[in-house]
Amino acid sequence: MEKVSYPFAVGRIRALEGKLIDAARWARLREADRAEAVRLLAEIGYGGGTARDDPEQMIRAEEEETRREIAALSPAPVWTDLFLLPIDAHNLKACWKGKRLGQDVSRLLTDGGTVPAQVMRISVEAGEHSLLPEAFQKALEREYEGLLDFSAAVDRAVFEQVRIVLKKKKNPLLSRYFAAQADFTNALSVLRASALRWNTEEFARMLVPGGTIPPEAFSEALASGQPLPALSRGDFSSAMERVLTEYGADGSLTGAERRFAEERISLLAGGGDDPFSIGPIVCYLLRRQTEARELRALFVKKA
Amino acid sequence: MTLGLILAIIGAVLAAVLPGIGSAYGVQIGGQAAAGVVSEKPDLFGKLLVLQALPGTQGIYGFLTAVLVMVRTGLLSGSAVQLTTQQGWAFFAACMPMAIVGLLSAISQGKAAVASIHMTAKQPDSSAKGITMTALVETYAILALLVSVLLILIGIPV
Repeated sequence: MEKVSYPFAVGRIRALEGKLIDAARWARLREADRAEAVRLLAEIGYGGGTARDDPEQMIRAEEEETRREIAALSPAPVWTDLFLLPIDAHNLKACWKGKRLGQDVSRLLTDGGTVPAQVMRISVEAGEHSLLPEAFQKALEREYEGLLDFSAAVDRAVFEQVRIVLKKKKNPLLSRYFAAQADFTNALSVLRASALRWNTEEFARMLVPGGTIPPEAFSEALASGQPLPALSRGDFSSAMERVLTEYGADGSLTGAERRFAEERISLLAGGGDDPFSIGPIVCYLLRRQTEARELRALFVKKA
Repeated sequence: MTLGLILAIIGAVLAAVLPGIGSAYGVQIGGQAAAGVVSEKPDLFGKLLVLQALPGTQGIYGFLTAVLVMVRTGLLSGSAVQLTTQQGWAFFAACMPMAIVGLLSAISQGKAAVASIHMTAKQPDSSAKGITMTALVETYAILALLVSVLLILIGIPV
């Protein structure tokens, strides 16, 4: 297949960026009641004409459409696929759980990952893992006590797969982005563990590899109950300080999650303006993902 | 045919070929960017066409320089002047500003055109700003053309 060029792909992305919900529409969505908000979304073509009374279906349809668009126009699928690994991870967890409990989990699967959902299901059911990403294959070789144990192993496998791919095909922008994501994910685990009063052993298996902060710093942060001094290090210390300071002020986990996501996107902003790089394409994908997450939160509040 | 005439012909060839390559590349990347935008917003075709075409001018300037060398050396009239080696080098050197600056400025202008096309995709009303910014790169190609033309027409006694 002919490789898509960066100017073409970024040109199309710039045109698609017009579909992102802008500040004025967000304001209207926040003010509107549930039915009115759904109508506003349908009006701008969000969800591509799918069930106009079910926001969740609209959001899912839009997410799948975005992933299809990115898959079709990405000049370097090997890099954009890294951003779809969480979908694979979700499907793998669901399939593994389904196999263990003898349940049909087809309706829980999401399309748009690097491995088609049905292929994932059949692979797990048949125990034939050669079509899955390398790190996922390794994760499936081990035995697990329960779903939580398996879920933590798959989350680690996502970051391990990122490391494998970026070692083979280097990209400084993405390496920096995923290192930040690992640090931020681990910091969020500290906040969750602290709120849910997990013990250190439970917490340690939640840590993901690939960050710039040593793992013992996270255990230290949990044990001391003071995440800020222990985690203000690594390559992203200033972003970490900003988010943890705000978390200290409002104590909101969802707020911290959102701020970490914003910090991650801002890391890509430099590369996001280069029309000859993958930056604008992954920036668009992340903005759509953030938009979907915020819409879900908005409709939960309006339910 | 003297060595001088051969040198002048090589100069003319480079003046036509190098900016031509640069322009082809500039128009190509501009076209790719414009195609990406038009695939989603077909109504922007007219605005983007101007931006795509801008890096094409260096190829024309290079062609003009080559034709002037051919006219001055009598290659077009069929009675070529038997240039000395020094005169040949002089024509060769006179072609170089257009050849080199034409190549590099066309590539740079192509990149500026791509950025402007992407800007127009997000803000269709800013296409005129994009055209202005992209056209500024042209300045240096025009200066190089002037130097080459003045040298070929006035600077070299034949």
